[in-house]
Amino acid sequence: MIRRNRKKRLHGFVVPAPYAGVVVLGMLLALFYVWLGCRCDSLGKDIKTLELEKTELKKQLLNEESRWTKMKSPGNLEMVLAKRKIGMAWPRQDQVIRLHERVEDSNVSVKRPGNSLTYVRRNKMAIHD
Amino acid sequence: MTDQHTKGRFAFSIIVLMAAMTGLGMRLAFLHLGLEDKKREGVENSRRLEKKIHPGRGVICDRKGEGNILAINLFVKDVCADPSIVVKSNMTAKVAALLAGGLDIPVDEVAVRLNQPDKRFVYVKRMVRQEVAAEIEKQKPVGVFFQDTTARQYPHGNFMCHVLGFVNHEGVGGAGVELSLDKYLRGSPGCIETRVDALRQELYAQRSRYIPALEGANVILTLDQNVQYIVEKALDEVMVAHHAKGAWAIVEKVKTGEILAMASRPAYDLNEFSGAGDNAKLNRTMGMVYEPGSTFKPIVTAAALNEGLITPETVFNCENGAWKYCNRLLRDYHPYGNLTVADGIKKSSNILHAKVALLLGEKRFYQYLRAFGMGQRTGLDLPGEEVGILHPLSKWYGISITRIPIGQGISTTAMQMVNMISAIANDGCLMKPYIVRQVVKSDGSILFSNKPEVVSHPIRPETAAIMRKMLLGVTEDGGTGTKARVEGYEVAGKTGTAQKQVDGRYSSTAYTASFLGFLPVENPEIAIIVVVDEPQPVHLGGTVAAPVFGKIANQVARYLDIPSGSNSLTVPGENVAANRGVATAGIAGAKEMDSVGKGGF
Repeated sequence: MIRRNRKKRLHGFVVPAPYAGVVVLGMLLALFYVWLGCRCDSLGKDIKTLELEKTELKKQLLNEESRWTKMKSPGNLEMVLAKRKIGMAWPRQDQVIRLHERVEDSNVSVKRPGNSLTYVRRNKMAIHD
Repeated sequence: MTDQHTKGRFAFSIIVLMAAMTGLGMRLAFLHLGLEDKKREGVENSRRLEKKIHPGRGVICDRKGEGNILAINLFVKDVCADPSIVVKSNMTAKVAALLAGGLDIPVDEVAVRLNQPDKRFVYVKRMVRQEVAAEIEKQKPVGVFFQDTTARQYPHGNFMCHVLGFVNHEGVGGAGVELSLDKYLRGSPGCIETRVDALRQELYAQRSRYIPALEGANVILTLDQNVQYIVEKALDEVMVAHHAKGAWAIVEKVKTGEILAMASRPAYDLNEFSGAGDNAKLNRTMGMVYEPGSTFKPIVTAAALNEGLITPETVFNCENGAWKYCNRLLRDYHPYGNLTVADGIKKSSNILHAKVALLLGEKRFYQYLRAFGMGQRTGLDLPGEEVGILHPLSKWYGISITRIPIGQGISTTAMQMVNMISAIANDGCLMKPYIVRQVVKSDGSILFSNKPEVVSHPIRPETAAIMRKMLLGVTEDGGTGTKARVEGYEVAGKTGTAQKQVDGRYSSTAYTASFLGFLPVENPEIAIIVVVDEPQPVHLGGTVAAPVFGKIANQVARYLDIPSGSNSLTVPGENVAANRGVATAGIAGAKEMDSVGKGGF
């Protein structure tokens, strides 16, 4: 019986290193490609979802704008005031208190947006009638 | 195992692998190259998706911008059904009841639509709001499905209907601003080319072309919705109080020509425009001509003053109310003897104005009429503006020179008239009126912007100042327009009561009552015209239209915070139109002295 030459077998046919390297690299590239494809698909789905969400939000915004516009229309406001029995009329000129730009001796102060506190004065007395 | 065996196995596996790959390759080649063109096209088409992206139509806002939206595009749904499926399921009655309840249409109507087994598609109701469609969708009715679409929505119904106009079902503007600015509002459609999976879901990574839709630009008008509301409410009231056939009014800023309000009655609901008749759709402020009557008199007076032919103190003999010229009688409503020009305009004497026109002469008078914009479009940026009727001199009759000055034998639009009075108020500068302030893209950039434009200078500033003073007399005691007074302001104006032509003759029952004026006299800010068509039974401009003017002017002046221009001019008691109902203010105790020409052609 012929004894096996273990050493020889051990050093039997070996895939050449460069070839194996190319195959492994190819496999890695293929895997990367597949991963990239999946990632693109997933991002695409996300984008689609966000696009749909944006459209939905736009629809909602327009609906809300329409409702808001209706609510604050002069006709509706008048109706609501009447319902609450709040009688309102336009003020006469002498009923309007006008605030003008500041003069030193003024006793009224207002905060204007973006400015420091500015003093103003009123030029007419309020008349309540 | 020997090396030989290993090599053999390796070679075998390589061969098997190669064979498999070759097989796959051949199959692939067969699928891609060997298929018939038709089949390949079919496969391709089933995976391809080409879609047009509809742009959103721009919004229309009042002068305050996007805070006050007047027209907006909403996403809505068309409720559709496949009658064959509904009928097969034997649930026609149930589905019809469900749809009828949700969509507010009669059950019978829905049942008839669904009961068509040979049809595959019917609209149950178009342009249904999302919430309503969602409610129906929840109950999953058999054979019913929904299509996404957009619809033009006018949140305020018939508010500003004649200015805004409407958009037809194809999305094209059909009237008003919607028509005139359609090219800006419409936007530009985009498109998408992509591939879909077996479930018709888009494969985003394979989107080959995407051109986003260009949203329509937004239009900002010069109209103020609060001023418009005041005007529309006043017109609605006068329509009811005087059983009028129609009524219309314009509020214009005299210094710029901006239109703050433009309303016409009858009106119609813009969301139901298809059901409205032509009569309701007519914008009478600029699309209807009428004989202006006495409101036309300021032109001849201004012209003669400008030529230096008369002064406010020049006296004319008013022939005790009846004067023959070219064998045709001209009458005054009340007989007068000698009147100054200032009194003539205050009391609206026909004879005095006819004599002033004779003094001026046909040629000069015609030139002034043209200079004031008569017989020409004002150039307002709305469709359907009428030119009016001003015959050329060659077609004037012998008595035309005595009738045109009193507003007979000439037809104008309310727009032309308010523009004329604005010119007098604006130191003789005739401005081009405009209703569109800006067209703004969705990114905020301005595409188009209107600016005040001077058209002509028909009279000198000094003449205009004299005219303003004389027209103030009309609303003072003894004038024809006392009911147009506004508490705290000096109002100048002119009343008009014109007989309408019926079957070629002047009617004794059908009149057009109008009032034309501006305020405050010292530094005019706004001009207003109010015209009431065939008011009954009272028909005088000073009784019907002047109180409406007063009511509008009173509120608008306070709302716009117009300085009075004089020291607290408060008009006492009875004749002040402020805060009073038109109905009660107009009829009771009318002391109308407006003249009506009885001569006629």
